[in-house]
Amino acid sequence: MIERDDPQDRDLSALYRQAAEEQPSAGLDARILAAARATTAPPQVVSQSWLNRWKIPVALAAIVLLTTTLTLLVQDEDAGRLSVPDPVTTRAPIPAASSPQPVPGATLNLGGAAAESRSDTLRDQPAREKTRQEIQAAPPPPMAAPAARSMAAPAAKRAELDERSPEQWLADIRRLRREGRVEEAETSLAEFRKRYPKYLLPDDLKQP
Amino acid sequence: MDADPSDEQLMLAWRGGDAAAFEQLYVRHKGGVLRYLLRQTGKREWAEELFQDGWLKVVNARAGYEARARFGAWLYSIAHNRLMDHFREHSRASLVSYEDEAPMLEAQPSAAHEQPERTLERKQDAQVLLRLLDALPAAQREAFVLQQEGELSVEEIAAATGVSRETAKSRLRYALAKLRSELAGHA
Repeated sequence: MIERDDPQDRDLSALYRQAAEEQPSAGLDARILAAARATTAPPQVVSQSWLNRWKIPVALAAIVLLTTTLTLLVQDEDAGRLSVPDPVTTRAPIPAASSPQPVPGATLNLGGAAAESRSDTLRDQPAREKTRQEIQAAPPPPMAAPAARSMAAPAAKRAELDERSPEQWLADIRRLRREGRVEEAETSLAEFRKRYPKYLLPDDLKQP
Repeated sequence: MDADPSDEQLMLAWRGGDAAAFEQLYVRHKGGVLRYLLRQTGKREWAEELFQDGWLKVVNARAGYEARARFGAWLYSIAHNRLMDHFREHSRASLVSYEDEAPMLEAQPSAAHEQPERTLERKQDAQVLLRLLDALPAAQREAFVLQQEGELSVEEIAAATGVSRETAKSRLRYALAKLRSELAGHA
Protein backbone atom coordinates (compact mmCIF):
# COMPACT_ATOMS: atom_id res chain seq x y z
CA MET A 1 0.00 0.00 0.00
CA ILE A 2 1.33 3.40 -0.97
CA GLU A 3 2.63 5.37 2.03
CA ARG A 4 2.04 9.08 2.57
CA ASP A 5 5.72 9.95 2.26
CA ASP A 6 6.23 7.87 -0.90
CA PRO A 7 7.01 9.89 -4.00
CA GLN A 8 3.85 10.15 -6.07
CA ASP A 9 2.02 12.39 -8.51
CA ARG A 10 -1.77 12.21 -8.50
CA ASP A 11 -2.09 13.89 -11.89
CA LEU A 12 0.32 11.43 -13.48
CA SER A 13 -1.51 8.56 -11.83
CA ALA A 14 -4.86 9.78 -13.18
CA LEU A 15 -3.38 10.21 -16.62
CA TYR A 16 -1.80 6.78 -16.52
CA ARG A 17 -5.11 5.14 -15.54
CA GLN A 18 -6.75 6.72 -18.57
CA ALA A 19 -4.25 5.09 -20.87
CA ALA A 20 -3.81 1.75 -19.14
CA GLU A 21 -6.75 -0.34 -20.23
CA GLU A 22 -5.23 -3.56 -21.49
CA GLN A 23 -6.74 -6.79 -20.20
CA PRO A 24 -5.83 -10.45 -20.66
CA SER A 25 -7.66 -12.34 -23.38
CA ALA A 26 -10.75 -14.42 -22.56
CA GLY A 27 -8.84 -17.61 -23.38
CA LEU A 28 -6.11 -16.75 -20.92
CA ASP A 29 -8.69 -16.00 -18.23
CA ALA A 30 -10.35 -19.34 -18.88
CA ARG A 31 -7.11 -21.31 -18.63
CA ILE A 32 -6.10 -19.76 -15.33
CA LEU A 33 -9.54 -20.06 -13.77
CA ALA A 34 -9.76 -23.67 -14.88
CA ALA A 35 -6.40 -24.41 -13.26
CA ALA A 36 -7.60 -22.76 -10.07
CA ARG A 37 -10.87 -24.69 -10.06
CA ALA A 38 -9.01 -27.93 -10.57
CA THR A 39 -7.25 -27.49 -7.23
CA THR A 40 -10.58 -27.19 -5.42
CA ALA A 41 -12.37 -29.90 -7.39
CA PRO A 42 -15.13 -31.78 -5.54
CA PRO A 43 -14.54 -35.30 -4.19
CA GLN A 44 -16.18 -36.91 -7.25
CA VAL A 45 -12.96 -36.27 -9.11
CA VAL A 46 -11.11 -38.34 -6.54
CA SER A 47 -13.52 -41.25 -6.85
CA GLN A 48 -13.40 -40.96 -10.62
CA SER A 49 -9.63 -41.15 -10.57
CA TRP A 50 -9.93 -44.22 -8.30
CA LEU A 51 -12.27 -45.74 -10.85
CA ASN A 52 -9.89 -44.91 -13.65
CA ARG A 53 -7.03 -46.44 -11.70
CA TRP A 54 -8.81 -49.73 -11.04
CA LYS A 55 -11.09 -50.24 -14.00
CA ILE A 56 -8.46 -51.94 -16.18
CA PRO A 57 -7.29 -54.44 -13.51
CA VAL A 58 -10.90 -55.21 -12.59
CA ALA A 59 -11.80 -55.73 -16.24
CA LEU A 60 -8.83 -58.05 -16.71
CA ALA A 61 -9.74 -60.04 -13.60
CA ALA A 62 -13.32 -60.37 -14.86
CA ILE A 63 -12.09 -61.63 -18.24
CA VAL A 64 -9.80 -64.19 -16.60
CA LEU A 65 -12.62 -65.38 -14.33
CA LEU A 66 -15.05 -65.65 -17.21
CA THR A 67 -12.55 -67.50 -19.41
CA THR A 68 -11.70 -69.95 -16.65
CA THR A 69 -15.35 -70.62 -15.90
CA LEU A 70 -16.18 -71.20 -19.55
CA THR A 71 -13.18 -73.50 -19.99
CA LEU A 72 -14.21 -75.63 -17.01
CA LEU A 73 -17.78 -75.80 -18.26
CA VAL A 74 -16.66 -76.91 -21.72
CA GLN A 75 -14.35 -79.52 -20.21
CA ASP A 76 -17.18 -80.86 -18.06
CA GLU A 77 -19.43 -80.95 -21.12
CA ASP A 78 -16.87 -82.91 -23.13
CA ALA A 79 -16.18 -85.34 -20.29
CA GLY A 80 -19.90 -85.93 -19.80
CA ARG A 81 -20.42 -86.59 -23.51
CA LEU A 82 -17.56 -89.08 -23.63
CA SER A 83 -18.68 -90.97 -20.54
CA VAL A 84 -22.38 -91.37 -21.35
CA PRO A 85 -22.90 -95.03 -20.57
CA ASP A 86 -23.58 -97.41 -23.42
CA PRO A 87 -26.23 -99.74 -22.05
CA VAL A 88 -24.75 -102.74 -23.78
CA THR A 89 -21.00 -102.26 -23.50
CA THR A 90 -20.89 -100.76 -20.04
CA ARG A 91 -23.40 -102.63 -17.98
CA ALA A 92 -24.35 -105.77 -19.74
CA PRO A 93 -21.12 -107.72 -19.28
CA ILE A 94 -21.09 -107.26 -15.52
CA PRO A 95 -24.25 -109.16 -14.61
CA ALA A 96 -23.56 -111.67 -17.35
CA ALA A 97 -20.17 -112.49 -15.95
CA SER A 98 -21.13 -112.29 -12.31
CA SER A 99 -24.11 -114.62 -12.55
CA PRO A 100 -24.23 -117.81 -14.50
CA GLN A 101 -28.02 -117.77 -14.33
CA PRO A 102 -30.10 -115.89 -16.82
CA VAL A 103 -31.24 -112.63 -15.37
CA PRO A 104 -34.91 -112.23 -15.91
CA GLY A 105 -34.88 -108.50 -15.43
CA ALA A 106 -31.69 -107.86 -17.36
CA THR A 107 -33.40 -105.88 -20.08
CA LEU A 108 -35.20 -103.75 -17.56
CA ASN A 109 -31.99 -103.20 -15.60
CA LEU A 110 -30.21 -102.06 -18.72
CA GLY A 111 -33.00 -99.69 -19.49
CA GLY A 112 -32.81 -98.36 -15.96
CA ALA A 113 -29.10 -97.83 -16.27
CA ALA A 114 -29.57 -95.87 -19.46
CA ALA A 115 -32.08 -93.70 -17.73
CA GLU A 116 -29.66 -92.69 -14.99
CA SER A 117 -28.40 -89.18 -15.02
CA ARG A 118 -25.02 -88.31 -16.48
CA SER A 119 -23.70 -87.14 -13.17
CA ASP A 120 -24.52 -90.47 -11.62
CA THR A 121 -22.70 -92.15 -14.47
CA LEU A 122 -19.64 -90.01 -13.92
CA ARG A 123 -19.74 -90.53 -10.20
CA ASP A 124 -20.23 -94.31 -10.45
CA GLN A 125 -17.79 -94.87 -13.27
CA PRO A 126 -14.69 -95.51 -11.10
CA ALA A 127 -16.68 -97.84 -8.84
CA ARG A 128 -18.03 -99.82 -11.75
CA GLU A 129 -14.62 -100.06 -13.34
CA LYS A 130 -13.24 -101.35 -10.06
CA THR A 131 -16.05 -103.89 -9.77
CA ARG A 132 -15.47 -105.05 -13.32
CA GLN A 133 -11.76 -105.51 -12.68
CA GLU A 134 -12.47 -107.40 -9.44
CA ILE A 135 -14.89 -109.69 -11.23
CA GLN A 136 -12.46 -110.37 -14.02
CA ALA A 137 -9.60 -111.01 -11.57
CA ALA A 138 -11.66 -113.10 -9.17
CA PRO A 139 -11.29 -116.90 -9.22
CA PRO A 140 -14.06 -118.84 -10.91
CA PRO A 141 -17.02 -119.80 -8.78
CA PRO A 142 -17.18 -123.24 -7.16
CA MET A 143 -19.12 -124.58 -10.14
CA ALA A 144 -16.94 -126.22 -12.73
CA ALA A 145 -16.06 -123.98 -15.60
CA PRO A 146 -17.58 -126.14 -18.36
CA ALA A 147 -20.81 -126.39 -16.41
CA ALA A 148 -20.87 -122.69 -15.94
CA ARG A 149 -20.32 -122.17 -19.62
CA SER A 150 -23.05 -124.69 -20.43
CA MET A 151 -25.45 -122.82 -18.17
CA ALA A 152 -24.44 -119.42 -19.42
CA ALA A 153 -24.73 -120.32 -23.09
CA PRO A 154 -28.40 -121.43 -23.04
CA ALA A 155 -29.27 -118.43 -20.98
CA ALA A 156 -27.81 -116.13 -23.56
CA LYS A 157 -29.45 -118.09 -26.33
CA ARG A 158 -32.78 -117.99 -24.56
CA ALA A 159 -32.57 -114.28 -24.16
CA GLU A 160 -31.90 -114.07 -27.86
CA LEU A 161 -34.85 -116.35 -28.62
CA ASP A 162 -37.17 -114.32 -26.42
CA GLU A 163 -36.78 -111.41 -28.76
CA ARG A 164 -38.33 -113.39 -31.64
CA SER A 165 -41.71 -112.50 -33.05
CA PRO A 166 -44.52 -114.93 -32.17
CA GLU A 167 -44.63 -116.23 -35.73
CA GLN A 168 -40.91 -116.82 -35.78
CA TRP A 169 -41.13 -118.51 -32.40
CA LEU A 170 -43.86 -120.90 -33.64
CA ALA A 171 -41.84 -121.64 -36.77
CA ASP A 172 -38.90 -122.63 -34.55
CA ILE A 173 -41.17 -124.91 -32.53
CA ARG A 174 -42.28 -126.65 -35.73
CA ARG A 175 -38.67 -126.99 -36.77
CA LEU A 176 -37.81 -128.63 -33.42
CA ARG A 177 -40.62 -131.10 -33.85
CA ARG A 178 -39.53 -131.95 -37.33
CA GLU A 179 -36.04 -132.53 -36.07
CA GLY A 180 -37.38 -134.87 -33.41
CA ARG A 181 -36.49 -132.61 -30.53
CA VAL A 182 -39.87 -133.03 -29.03
CA GLU A 183 -38.99 -132.22 -25.46
CA GLU A 184 -37.37 -128.92 -26.46
CA ALA A 185 -40.30 -128.16 -28.71
CA GLU A 186 -42.79 -128.70 -25.89
CA THR A 187 -40.76 -126.66 -23.45
CA SER A 188 -40.55 -123.82 -25.96
CA LEU A 189 -44.26 -124.06 -26.65
CA ALA A 190 -45.02 -123.88 -22.93
CA GLU A 191 -42.91 -120.76 -22.65
CA PHE A 192 -44.70 -119.35 -25.66
CA ARG A 193 -48.03 -119.90 -23.98
CA LYS A 194 -46.81 -118.19 -20.86
CA ARG A 195 -45.54 -115.23 -22.85
CA TYR A 196 -48.55 -114.96 -25.14
CA PRO A 197 -51.46 -116.56 -23.24
CA LYS A 198 -54.08 -115.04 -25.53
CA TYR A 199 -52.36 -115.98 -28.74
CA LEU A 200 -54.50 -118.36 -30.79
CA LEU A 201 -52.23 -121.30 -31.61
CA PRO A 202 -52.39 -122.87 -35.07
CA ASP A 203 -54.06 -126.27 -35.20
CA ASP A 204 -50.85 -128.15 -35.92
CA LEU A 205 -49.33 -126.91 -32.69
CA LYS A 206 -52.38 -127.52 -30.54
CA GLN A 207 -51.67 -131.23 -30.73
CA PRO A 208 -48.61 -132.47 -28.88
CA MET B 1 -17.84 -13.37 3.79
CA ASP B 2 -17.67 -9.58 3.98
CA ALA B 3 -19.02 -7.43 1.16
CA ASP B 4 -15.49 -6.27 0.30
CA PRO B 5 -13.00 -8.74 1.71
CA SER B 6 -9.29 -8.08 1.56
CA ASP B 7 -7.05 -9.91 -0.86
CA GLU B 8 -5.62 -11.95 1.98
CA GLN B 9 -9.10 -12.98 3.17
CA LEU B 10 -9.98 -14.08 -0.34
CA MET B 11 -6.77 -16.05 -0.65
CA LEU B 12 -7.41 -17.82 2.68
CA ALA B 13 -10.99 -18.53 1.65
CA TRP B 14 -9.75 -20.06 -1.58
CA ARG B 15 -7.22 -22.13 0.34
CA GLY B 16 -10.20 -23.41 2.32
CA GLY B 17 -11.93 -24.58 -0.85
CA ASP B 18 -13.90 -21.51 -1.96
CA ALA B 19 -13.29 -21.43 -5.72
CA ALA B 20 -15.28 -18.20 -6.11
CA ALA B 21 -12.82 -16.40 -3.84
CA PHE B 22 -10.02 -16.97 -6.30
CA GLU B 23 -12.11 -15.67 -9.18
CA GLN B 24 -12.77 -12.48 -7.25
CA LEU B 25 -9.08 -12.11 -6.51
CA TYR B 26 -8.15 -12.76 -10.10
CA VAL B 27 -10.58 -10.16 -11.42
CA ARG B 28 -9.11 -7.60 -9.04
CA HIS B 29 -5.52 -8.07 -10.16
CA LYS B 30 -5.46 -9.55 -13.63
CA GLY B 31 -5.38 -6.22 -15.49
CA GLY B 32 -2.65 -4.69 -13.35
CA VAL B 33 -0.36 -7.70 -13.58
CA LEU B 34 -0.80 -7.99 -17.33
CA ARG B 35 -0.09 -4.28 -17.87
CA TYR B 36 2.98 -4.45 -15.65
CA LEU B 37 4.35 -7.31 -17.77
CA LEU B 38 3.28 -5.59 -20.97
CA ARG B 39 5.10 -2.37 -20.06
CA GLN B 40 8.25 -4.26 -19.15
CA THR B 41 8.43 -6.67 -22.06
CA GLY B 42 6.84 -4.51 -24.76
CA LYS B 43 5.28 -7.61 -26.36
CA ARG B 44 1.82 -8.91 -25.65
CA GLU B 45 2.82 -12.47 -26.51
CA TRP B 46 5.57 -12.49 -23.90
CA ALA B 47 3.44 -10.63 -21.39
CA GLU B 48 0.65 -13.20 -21.63
CA GLU B 49 3.06 -16.10 -21.30
CA LEU B 50 4.61 -14.62 -18.16
CA PHE B 51 1.17 -13.65 -16.88
CA GLN B 52 0.00 -17.24 -17.11
CA ASP B 53 3.16 -18.58 -15.48
CA GLY B 54 2.80 -16.11 -12.62
CA TRP B 55 -0.82 -16.93 -11.90
CA LEU B 56 -0.14 -20.64 -12.09
CA LYS B 57 2.48 -20.15 -9.41
CA VAL B 58 -0.20 -18.54 -7.28
CA VAL B 59 -2.54 -21.44 -8.00
CA ASN B 60 0.10 -23.99 -7.07
CA ALA B 61 0.92 -22.12 -3.86
CA ARG B 62 -2.69 -22.32 -2.66
CA ALA B 63 -2.29 -25.11 -0.10
CA GLY B 64 0.70 -23.52 1.62
CA TYR B 65 -0.39 -19.89 1.48
CA GLU B 66 -0.06 -17.86 4.65
CA ALA B 67 -0.87 -14.17 4.88
CA ARG B 68 2.62 -13.06 5.90
CA ALA B 69 2.67 -10.09 3.51
CA ARG B 70 0.19 -8.13 1.47
CA PHE B 71 -1.12 -10.32 -1.33
CA GLY B 72 -0.46 -7.61 -3.97
CA ALA B 73 3.20 -7.32 -2.99
CA TRP B 74 3.59 -11.10 -3.12
CA LEU B 75 1.82 -11.33 -6.48
CA TYR B 76 3.99 -8.66 -8.12
CA SER B 77 7.17 -10.15 -6.69
CA ILE B 78 6.22 -13.43 -8.41
CA ALA B 79 5.64 -11.51 -11.65
CA HIS B 80 8.97 -9.68 -11.28
CA ASN B 81 10.91 -12.90 -10.68
CA ARG B 82 9.32 -14.54 -13.69
CA LEU B 83 10.16 -11.47 -15.72
CA MET B 84 13.81 -11.65 -14.71
CA ASP B 85 13.93 -15.34 -15.67
CA HIS B 86 12.47 -14.40 -19.02
CA PHE B 87 15.07 -11.68 -19.63
CA ARG B 88 17.88 -14.08 -18.72
CA GLU B 89 16.59 -16.47 -21.36
CA HIS B 90 15.57 -14.06 -24.12
CA SER B 91 16.83 -10.54 -23.63
CA ARG B 92 20.11 -9.92 -21.86
CA ALA B 93 19.98 -6.24 -22.86
CA SER B 94 16.74 -5.74 -20.95
CA LEU B 95 18.29 -7.38 -17.93
CA VAL B 96 21.33 -5.10 -18.05
CA SER B 97 19.10 -2.04 -18.17
CA TYR B 98 17.79 -3.00 -14.72
CA GLU B 99 21.30 -2.64 -13.34
CA ASP B 100 21.50 1.03 -14.29
CA GLU B 101 21.21 2.92 -11.09
CA ALA B 102 19.14 6.04 -11.27
CA PRO B 103 20.89 9.24 -10.14
CA MET B 104 19.60 10.62 -6.87
CA LEU B 105 17.37 13.54 -7.72
CA GLU B 106 16.07 16.39 -5.72
CA ALA B 107 12.32 16.55 -5.48
CA GLN B 108 10.91 18.43 -8.40
CA PRO B 109 7.62 20.28 -8.57
CA SER B 110 4.73 18.70 -10.37
CA ALA B 111 4.57 19.78 -13.99
CA ALA B 112 0.80 19.65 -13.92
CA HIS B 113 0.66 22.08 -11.00
CA GLU B 114 3.18 24.44 -12.58
CA GLN B 115 1.56 24.50 -15.98
CA PRO B 116 -2.22 24.68 -15.49
CA GLU B 117 -2.52 26.31 -18.89
CA ARG B 118 -1.76 23.03 -20.71
CA THR B 119 -4.08 22.74 -23.70
CA LEU B 120 -3.48 19.15 -24.78
CA GLU B 121 -6.47 16.97 -24.27
CA ARG B 122 -6.21 14.45 -21.49
CA LYS B 123 -6.63 11.60 -23.88
CA GLN B 124 -3.70 12.66 -25.96
CA ASP B 125 -1.67 13.22 -22.84
CA ALA B 126 -2.37 9.68 -21.74
CA GLN B 127 -0.99 8.26 -24.96
CA VAL B 128 2.04 10.52 -24.70
CA LEU B 129 2.56 9.33 -21.16
CA LEU B 130 2.69 5.72 -22.31
CA ARG B 131 5.31 6.56 -24.93
CA LEU B 132 7.36 8.48 -22.36
CA LEU B 133 7.01 5.59 -19.96
CA ASP B 134 8.29 3.22 -22.59
CA ALA B 135 11.36 5.40 -23.05
CA LEU B 136 12.30 5.24 -19.36
CA PRO B 137 15.02 2.85 -18.11
CA ALA B 138 13.46 -0.50 -17.25
CA ALA B 139 14.09 -0.28 -13.50
CA GLN B 140 12.55 3.21 -13.24
CA ARG B 141 9.60 2.24 -15.40
CA GLU B 142 9.09 -0.83 -13.26
CA ALA B 143 9.07 1.20 -10.05
CA PHE B 144 6.44 3.56 -11.51
CA VAL B 145 4.22 0.79 -12.88
CA LEU B 146 4.38 -1.23 -9.67
CA GLN B 147 3.19 1.81 -7.80
CA GLN B 148 0.39 2.52 -10.28
CA GLU B 149 -0.84 -0.99 -11.00
CA GLY B 150 -0.15 -2.80 -7.76
CA GLU B 151 -0.37 0.18 -5.43
CA LEU B 152 2.90 -0.99 -3.92
CA SER B 153 4.69 1.18 -1.40
CA VAL B 154 8.36 2.02 -1.83
CA GLU B 155 9.09 -0.65 0.76
CA GLU B 156 7.09 -3.22 -1.19
CA ILE B 157 8.68 -2.20 -4.49
CA ALA B 158 12.09 -2.71 -2.91
CA ALA B 159 11.10 -6.14 -1.61
CA ALA B 160 9.51 -7.21 -4.89
CA THR B 161 12.46 -6.17 -7.02
CA GLY B 162 15.20 -7.19 -4.61
CA VAL B 163 16.79 -3.79 -4.03
CA SER B 164 17.18 -1.47 -1.08
CA ARG B 165 14.44 0.89 -0.06
CA GLU B 166 16.59 3.88 -1.02
CA THR B 167 17.24 2.50 -4.47
CA ALA B 168 13.55 1.84 -5.03
CA LYS B 169 12.67 5.32 -3.82
CA SER B 170 15.29 6.91 -6.05
CA ARG B 171 14.02 5.00 -9.10
CA LEU B 172 10.50 6.10 -8.42
CA ARG B 173 11.37 9.73 -7.89
CA TYR B 174 13.47 9.80 -11.03
CA ALA B 175 10.70 8.22 -13.07
CA LEU B 176 8.12 10.72 -11.84
CA ALA B 177 10.42 13.69 -12.49
CA LYS B 178 11.27 12.49 -15.95
CA LEU B 179 7.66 11.90 -16.91
CA ARG B 180 6.56 15.28 -15.58
CA SER B 181 9.37 17.03 -17.37
CA GLU B 182 8.82 15.29 -20.71
CA LEU B 183 5.08 15.65 -20.54
CA ALA B 184 5.47 19.39 -19.92
CA GLY B 185 7.70 19.59 -22.97
CA HIS B 186 4.88 18.14 -25.09
CA ALA B 187 2.43 20.73 -23.90
